[in-house]
Amino acid sequence: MPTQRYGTTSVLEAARARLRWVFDHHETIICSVSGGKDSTALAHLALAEAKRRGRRIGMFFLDEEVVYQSSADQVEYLMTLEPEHTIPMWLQVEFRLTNATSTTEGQLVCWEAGKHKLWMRPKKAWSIQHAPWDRSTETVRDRRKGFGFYDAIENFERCYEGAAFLVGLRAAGESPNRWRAVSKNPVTVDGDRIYWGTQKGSNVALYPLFDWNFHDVWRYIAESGVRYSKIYDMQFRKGYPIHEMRVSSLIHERAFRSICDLPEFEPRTYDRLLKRVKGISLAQEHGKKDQLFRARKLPKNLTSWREYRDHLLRTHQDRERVGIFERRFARQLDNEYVARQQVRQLVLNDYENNLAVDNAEDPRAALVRYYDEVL
Amino acid sequence: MTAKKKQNASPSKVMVTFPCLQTRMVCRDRLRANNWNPNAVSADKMQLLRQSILDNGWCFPIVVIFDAEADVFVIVDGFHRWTIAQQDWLDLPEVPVVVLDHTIAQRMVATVQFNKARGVHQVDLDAEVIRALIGQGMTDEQIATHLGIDLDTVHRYKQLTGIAELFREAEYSTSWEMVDG
Repeated sequence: MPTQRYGTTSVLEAARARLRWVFDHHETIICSVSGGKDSTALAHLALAEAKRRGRRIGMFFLDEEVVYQSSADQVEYLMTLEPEHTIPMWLQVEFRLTNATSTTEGQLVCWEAGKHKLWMRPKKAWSIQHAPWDRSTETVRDRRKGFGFYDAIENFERCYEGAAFLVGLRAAGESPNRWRAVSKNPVTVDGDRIYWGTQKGSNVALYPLFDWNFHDVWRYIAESGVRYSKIYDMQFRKGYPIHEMRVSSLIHERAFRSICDLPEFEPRTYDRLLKRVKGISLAQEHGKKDQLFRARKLPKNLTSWREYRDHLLRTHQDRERVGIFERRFARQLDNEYVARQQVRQLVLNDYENNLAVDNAEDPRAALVRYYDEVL
Repeated sequence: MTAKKKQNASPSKVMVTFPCLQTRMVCRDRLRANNWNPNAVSADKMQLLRQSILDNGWCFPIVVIFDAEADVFVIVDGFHRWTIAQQDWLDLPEVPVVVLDHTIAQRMVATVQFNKARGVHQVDLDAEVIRALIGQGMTDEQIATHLGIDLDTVHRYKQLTGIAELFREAEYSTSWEMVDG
């Protein structure tokens, strides 16, 4: 079992040392960027090292189309910051995204051919607009869901051999579960055992900022003077807790609440989104309320979560998908705790099971039993 | 203008009436609330509404229909302006109204339209307005009173720095590694 051991240097010095190691051991280095703060700090650090060595690194952005304009602006800024040392890899190709805001349009095909008039933005003149990988050997994780976000990443990565993909994943960040999965599988490069990476075919994904906290990222951004997405300042002015600030996709089941504040942050992006994706208007008005999308409160004409769930199943618009839900729920426990989570899946049209149901006994049942015995 | 053009292919054929030109004053006690309005106005926004009427005068008439059976005017839009006219607030004996000739369904739809067809303020533009007002010589307290926001919010808007500036003096954390243990 690997354990955690503190060093003697700051996370900034450690990250610089890790990047030096990456440059020493890899010819092809590609830094993934999203427009968010973590990948901004990482890209800036990697560019500094590339400049010092007179080398060029790839900068990869998988464009989901349905993102803040500020994110797209941020990516463009990063890709043009050090043109001598950057190979831009802005990927704008068709793939499928989950749409949690609509019960009839469960997926959105971003950059769909023939819909260019509806696209959130025109494609960049210098972006990669056609899949660069061999279509005959293209892989798909899940045929039922179709070619999705991670498929696009994996197929893109397979265009390279022996490359290092730099990713701004942090252990103390938004996805501790992902970090646990990562550190279980260390990689070995030229005899060095690296815990902050994952083997991906002949390539490696590396996470040089894995031990950074959010305040380290902001400190680095402030002191280096690198620009960052305006959305963070708007969220800050609006009083968002610092840990809840996100600039990710606007419509998947975890991020679609960003739509609530979108008219205030980027009115033009919101107007485009209304035309592009179904269900946006309702999500904008009710995304933060306890009823409907968050499923924390029962509608007043219903008395139990099980009743609500059965009502939603009976009246679901998409008879094909309803079978997916019915088969899944049939395997789960029949109690109020589970039923509430099933309701949440139904209102978010989460037929892909992204927000998995905790199939357990109602925690309140144990409490009630306890008091029954005591009293 | 552009929005209108897109909605109506031939704007010349659209008939628009101007009931606002038929505004008249009626005794405030002749008005009644409706029982279908889902809109709720928070206490701080009521205070702002009062302040707005004091600063700008009463600019928008209350929209009503006439209920002949009960011999009262039923409010379609403007319940909170009517509330402001009551004894507890401004104590105005008469209020301006426009009377619509609507069916029950039309009234309910109109209420929702009036409530929802409105804009929101862009966060960064709000901050711009506050900075401009300070430039015009208004104090923080005056801004708080006249815009119906608390001092804390004024200070937040006044912070011209972004979030990164807050962490400029923060200490970097100590690095750590995973080791085989």
